Amino acid sequence: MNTVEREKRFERSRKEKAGKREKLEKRLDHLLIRFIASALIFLLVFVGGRLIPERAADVFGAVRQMICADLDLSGSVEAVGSAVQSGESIPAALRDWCVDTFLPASLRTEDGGIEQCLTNGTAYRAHLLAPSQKLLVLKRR
Amino acid sequence: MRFLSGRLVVTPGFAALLSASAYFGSLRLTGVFLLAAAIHETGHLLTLHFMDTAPERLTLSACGAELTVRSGLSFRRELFLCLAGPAANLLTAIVLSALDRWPLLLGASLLLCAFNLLPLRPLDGGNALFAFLSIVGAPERAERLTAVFSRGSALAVLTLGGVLMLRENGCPWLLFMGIWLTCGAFQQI
Repeated sequence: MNTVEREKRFERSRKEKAGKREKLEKRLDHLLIRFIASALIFLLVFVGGRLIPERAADVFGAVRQMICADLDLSGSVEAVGSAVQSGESIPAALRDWCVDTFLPASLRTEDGGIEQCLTNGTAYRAHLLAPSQKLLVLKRR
Repeated sequence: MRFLSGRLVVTPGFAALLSASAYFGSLRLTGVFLLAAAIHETGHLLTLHFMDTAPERLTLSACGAELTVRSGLSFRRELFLCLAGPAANLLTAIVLSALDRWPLLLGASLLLCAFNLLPLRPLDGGNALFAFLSIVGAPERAERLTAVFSRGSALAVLTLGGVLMLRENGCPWLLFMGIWLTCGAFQQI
């Protein structure tokens, strides 16, 4: 093996080693960043909540209220399982869960609301009509 | 075991997701959903094992679990692989229903199965749709169709979630789902 070839081989080996070291350093940096980020998140959520309990409780309470509103997610998931176990079909149980979770209460009770309105309207009309007219209304129906 | 040969990558986003769901939700529900997700991923991994293929990486991030497989699977096999996860959840639900036990795990399994079967990428249903369309027709056309459908549907969910939350003062879950689906649909394709 001549000197030039040996030099080339050394050069290649040096480059390979440098490349590997660079890769390892990058990987370590990446791992370190991940570790720091995870630790920060943990500190923020758990330890932060204990260090400044009142303020953290306020902030987390507001966020929880925004996210969950009046929904008991655990209860609603359990209700899906219970419904299937009690013989309800899977699509029906999932549909009910979607309605309960995604639709706001105002839209969910719309049917009930209309029924209530009609009942009230009928009651109102019945209240206004004379007893003889009430009979007439019943016959028409 | 061949299906255990891949790398497991856990990102800080996953830590954030876990701590947030445990803090704002409940620790029990988080644990049950983790168990359901583990059953789901086991379904994928077992199918890979039976196909004699090794996974490259399993990434746990804020977007959930993502299984990366070395390319070389046929579309038919890809279709089976995509449907294996939801099938594992469905099987668990059927078994639990027959046993009449653990309704919370049953509900979580069913919800995970149904959510993953939505025909939108990057969900299993979207990938299965792509594989099916590729078997039936040209893969390029399948890719285009799946992309357009996924993006359109994700944007529709996002809009609906936003409207329901802002106008009707509803729960923001649909909006969160829309954001997640939109990010996934625009990032992955």
